[in-house]
Formats: sequence, C-alpha cells, structure tokens
Amino acid sequence: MSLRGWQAALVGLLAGDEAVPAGDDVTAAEAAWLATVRSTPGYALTSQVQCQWRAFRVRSCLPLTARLLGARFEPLVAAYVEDRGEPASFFLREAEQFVEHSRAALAAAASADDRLAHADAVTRFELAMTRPHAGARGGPELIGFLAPPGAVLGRLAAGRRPPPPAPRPVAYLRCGAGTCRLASGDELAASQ
Amino acid sequence: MGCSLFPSFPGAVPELADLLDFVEIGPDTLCREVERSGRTALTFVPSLLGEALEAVGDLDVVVHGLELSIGTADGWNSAYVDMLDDFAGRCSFAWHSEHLGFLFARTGSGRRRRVRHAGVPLPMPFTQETVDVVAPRARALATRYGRPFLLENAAYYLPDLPADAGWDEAELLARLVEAADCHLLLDLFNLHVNATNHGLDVLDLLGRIPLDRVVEIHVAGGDEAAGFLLDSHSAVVPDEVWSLLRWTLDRAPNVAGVVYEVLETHLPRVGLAAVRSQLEQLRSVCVAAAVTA
Repeated sequence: MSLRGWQAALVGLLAGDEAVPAGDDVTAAEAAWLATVRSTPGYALTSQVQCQWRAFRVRSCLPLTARLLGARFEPLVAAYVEDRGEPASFFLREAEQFVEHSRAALAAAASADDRLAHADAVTRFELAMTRPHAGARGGPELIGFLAPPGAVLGRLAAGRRPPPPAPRPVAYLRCGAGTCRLASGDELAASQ
Repeated sequence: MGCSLFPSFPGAVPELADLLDFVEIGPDTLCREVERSGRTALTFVPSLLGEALEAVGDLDVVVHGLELSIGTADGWNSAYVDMLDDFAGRCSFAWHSEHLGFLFARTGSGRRRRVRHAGVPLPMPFTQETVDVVAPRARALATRYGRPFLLENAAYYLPDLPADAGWDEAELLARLVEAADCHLLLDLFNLHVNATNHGLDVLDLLGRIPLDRVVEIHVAGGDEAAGFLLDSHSAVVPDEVWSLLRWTLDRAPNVAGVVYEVLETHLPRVGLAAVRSQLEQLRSVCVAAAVTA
C-alpha cells in the first residue's frame, strides 16, 4: 500500500485526470481499484457531492449574482464545475474562476434579458468586496454600473429585479479595502 | 446533550439553550481563508466569532473540526492547527474531535510539489499504513491541547476501499484508538449510512468497535438519492438510528455527550421546532439509558 500515491491518484481522478497512475506510486491492486472505481455508482455519487460543495462555495461568494441570474445560475455553475475539474481551496478563487469561465455565457444571456447586463458590475462588485477579506492583494477598483448602484444592489439584496440598464455606465463605485463608495470625478478622470 | 452551532442563525442556540448542556463548534466555520506569502491561513471573522461566543453563553463548548485533513499522507493542514491554537486561547473547550479522512493530497516533488484539493472529504483505506499516519497525529493533538482528542468515523460511498487482510472500518477504528490512545466520536448515522449503502451488518460493526473509547455520539438523518442513503444531515433521526443509540448507550460506559447534528444549510428546511423535538427525544433516550445503567 502506498497511501501517498493512492490519495494523490484518487484526488486526481476526481479532478478529471485521465491516466491512472502505475509503477512505484501505487501497487498493482490499487491501480486496479482506481481503474474500476470510476465506473461505480459510489464514485459517481462522491463526484456529485464534490460538485455540490463547489457550487456552494461559488454561491456563498456571489449571492447577488445568483439572485440576478435566477434560474440561469445553477446551469452555469454546473457547466463550470464540469469543465474545470480541479477544485480550488479558497471560496474566492472558486468564485473568480467561475466568473472568468462564465463571462461569454453571461454576455450572451444579457441579449435575452436586458437586466442581465448588470451581471458584469455585480460580479465585479462581489469579488472586489470579498478579496480584501481573503487577503488578496490589489488596489481599489472602479466599477461602472448601468443604473444607480444603490438601486441595483439594494433591489437584488431585497430579492427584486434591478432597474433597467442604461447603454453606458451612469455611476461608478470605488471598491477597496472591504468598503465601497461612489467614485469622484477626479478618481474617474485619473483612471482613464 | 448538545447541538451544533449555527453561525448563520445566531439566535438558534439561545432558543434551544434550556435543552442543552453543551454546544459543538466548528471553529473553521467562523473563519475565512487568507493567503499570506503563498501560504493559506485561517483567520477568525470577528463578527462571527463574537456572535458564536455570545450565542453559547454559559454552555460548555466542544470543538468539532472539518478542515484538518488528519489523514493526508504527508502532512495535515497546518493552517487548521494554527487556527485551533488561536481558538484555544479565546475559548475553553472540553474535548476536540475531527473526521477520519483526508481533504487534499500533495503531489510531485521539489519545485513541482503542489497541493491538490479533493473538494470533498474522502475516506481512508482500512490499513496499517492509515494507523501509522493518523495515530501519532491524534496523540500529538491530545498532548498539544491537554484535552481528549476524538476521531469520528466517516460516511463513504466509494466501494471496496483498499484494506489489509481481514480489516474493515471497525477493525481500523479499533487499531487506531489503541495505537493513538485516543477516543472516539461515534457517528451512528454515518455507521448506519455505510451499513445501508455497502450491505453491512451494523450491529456486527458496532460490536467490534471499542465502545469504552466512545466519548461523544452523533445522531442525524439524511436524504436518499440514486439508491444511496446520504450523509446529508438534513432530516430528523430515523428509527434505526434511535435503536442504535439505545443499543450503544447500554454498552458504552464513558459517553459524555450526544449531539443531534443538522447541517446549517438545512436548518430552515428541518425547522427549529423539529430540532427542539429531536433534542427532547434525545434527552429521554439518554435519561432512560442512565436509569437502566
């Protein structure tokens, strides 16, 4: 038995590794177990529970995004988990990877429902507010909103639809160090 | 008798306090992960920690961790231990428990060495190598905090886990507590889940687990999916587990606490009234067992 090799192989399998290790890392019996286990119902369930935990992490970081997207959110998370087999350890990193993975799908969804045009600002806002608490580095960020930010975020927090979006940002939030406020004209000018 | 702390529902424990002797806190649930110089640290969210300690009030506390990964072959999660050091300085707890399993593995070597996360707790094989890895760590934790350390038996869905000849889950637990001189958190629902899903005789398993080492018991309920009983902590305790509890209490002389476990995310579904009712039933079972003893 090689516990180290077996654990690494099992974690790799759940992350989507194609090849089952052989040779010095695992014994022949372990290699045989690893080769057959993924066709078992118990493995499928373990994999499903793993996906549920990952989805929980994304939802925890992006609650307002989840409300904005409504029924579209879960399929997007499922597609992300399916495509990106390797789980992240941090809630924040899992959420960042989800947003990056879903960017094109979110843009496409906005053409079907104009309120989803707020998705870019809302995801950026939620990630920007989470990053300082997770020790992530980076300076303040200016985030353009297609409607008054208070109305967009406030309505989503209350479980209501946000106001219709304007074609261009009508206000910018300056998010940094775990706080946010409306950006001043000077700050906007300096950023351009 | 106790219940889990529900950090997102700080009013729950005070509402149940008249039925409780202690509260089980997962200190990692009061933390956020922070990256410092390329290392992961767990730091307390002051508001969550403050609310937790306020909710607990005068009740005793026991610690129940999830993030230690005590079974990872080449090293546990040291961020968890650092966090627990911090917690021990802020709050007195009667004992400390952790799930028997692993959450991550290290792969490669040298510059190519990296941590890969499973994203879900995974079971240990039933082998001497597992004992060799886990027992010294269990012993070290008991020494480090000067309090009993309890290993909790886990639920698993993977079939035919690697095992030494003649070993199974009960044998592994027996060998572990002997080698580590530690204690057990016996999760009767997990045992019921494993017996149901893998076609095992639960009383045969229980009969071979050293019940004199059991300090705490968990009872819970769960859902079914895809032909499996799930360790989801999302329901009231099924009749089979109440029977197992009575059976065990009659044979485990050192049980100091029994906890009804509900996962926080399922608390709204189960409802606080049902939790109260389960705790009342738990008390009556424990009282009856004490009278019998």
